[in-house]
Amino acid sequence: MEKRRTIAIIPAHNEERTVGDTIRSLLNQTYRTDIFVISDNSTDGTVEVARSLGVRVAETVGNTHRKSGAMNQAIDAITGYDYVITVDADTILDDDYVEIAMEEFRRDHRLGAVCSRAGIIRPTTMNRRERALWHFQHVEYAEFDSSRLERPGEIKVVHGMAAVYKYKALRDVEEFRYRRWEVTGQYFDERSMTEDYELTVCLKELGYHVTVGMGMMAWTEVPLRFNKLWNQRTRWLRGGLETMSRHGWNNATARDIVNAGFFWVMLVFHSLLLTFIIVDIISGIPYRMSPWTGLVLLVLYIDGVYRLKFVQNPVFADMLVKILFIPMIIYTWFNLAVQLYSYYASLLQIRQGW
Amino acid sequence: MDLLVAVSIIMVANTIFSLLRLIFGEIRLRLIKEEDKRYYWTKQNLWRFRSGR
Repeated sequence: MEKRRTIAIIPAHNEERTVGDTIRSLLNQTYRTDIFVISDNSTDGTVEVARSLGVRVAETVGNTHRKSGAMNQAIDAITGYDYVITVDADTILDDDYVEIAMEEFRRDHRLGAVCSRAGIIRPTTMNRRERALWHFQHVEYAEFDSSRLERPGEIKVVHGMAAVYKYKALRDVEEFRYRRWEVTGQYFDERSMTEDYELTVCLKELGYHVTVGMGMMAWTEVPLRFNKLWNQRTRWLRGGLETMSRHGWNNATARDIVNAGFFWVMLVFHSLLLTFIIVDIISGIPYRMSPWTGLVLLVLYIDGVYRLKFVQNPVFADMLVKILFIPMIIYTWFNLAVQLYSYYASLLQIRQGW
Repeated sequence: MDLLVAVSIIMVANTIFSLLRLIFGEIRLRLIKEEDKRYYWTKQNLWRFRSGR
């Protein structure tokens, strides 16, 4: 097989605790790749940890655009590569991650980017509240995985935690942004809160294919505090809404816009469900579920339990989230609240926490 | 009540289509050629165990 040159770029902001494991997982790849850590305004030992592992390290200069800005500076500084791997500094890759990505590119010459399935790392110590949040997300990430399998070649987003891009595709996106918005050096959109989704939309608009490598696996950490999870989710959803709004209705965004509309259907259903329960409780009569409500809940239950098979390293608590059903409904209400707030924050341009 | 019926039908239809797509996706993976399995199937042992970090 023709050898293609790859480089992994790790943007890192105060990641001394985790960046070492990320680098080691890249050093262990079966398909050799260069490694470039770009430290963005770190005040801890991130740079020292990276240097001690013998990889290329640089620091950003005057960057105020977080990960996107760091990535753009890093990509500008590299030459002679065919593929760019972006890896978050709290993410670990399976040893054959890059090798399988190269195989995906070999099979589809119009492929612009490929991402992996995503698992989450289990911390060694967690209190009871953190453990509950971890299990909810553990099950949820399995749902993300299963939805990727529904349409592997038509995924919504090449997620930013670990992805491989064709270098030429990134250059094409940069040129595309210049033609459309007259900005230069922006492989990743510096205005966007979800630069991975925005880049995916650009690639699709340029006619590139994007996919998930079902054999590729990456593992990441997840927020274990409620406010952090809230911030992460509102950032994801708000970034998505703003990207759709900026790009408008086209072949790359049409399905995403229709799916975003489905949120309102869910909101109406769950609002009615909650209202009927509360009214019945206040009236002192036992809640009598309508057959339609029962049918929806039954189908959701079957769907939820079926997707349990995608949970990596499942434990009993993961099963309980789905089998007891009520925790799943409560987590759905949390997600609906996040979405509702995201619309509100986006409309009023409220400052976004990170 | 009409509103409830309308949203219920949409939700049931959407969930069933989604589940069917998933099942067909799994069937497609199971039907791939032997030489491709390294790339598409080995990570599909869905109950694999990992110690994480």
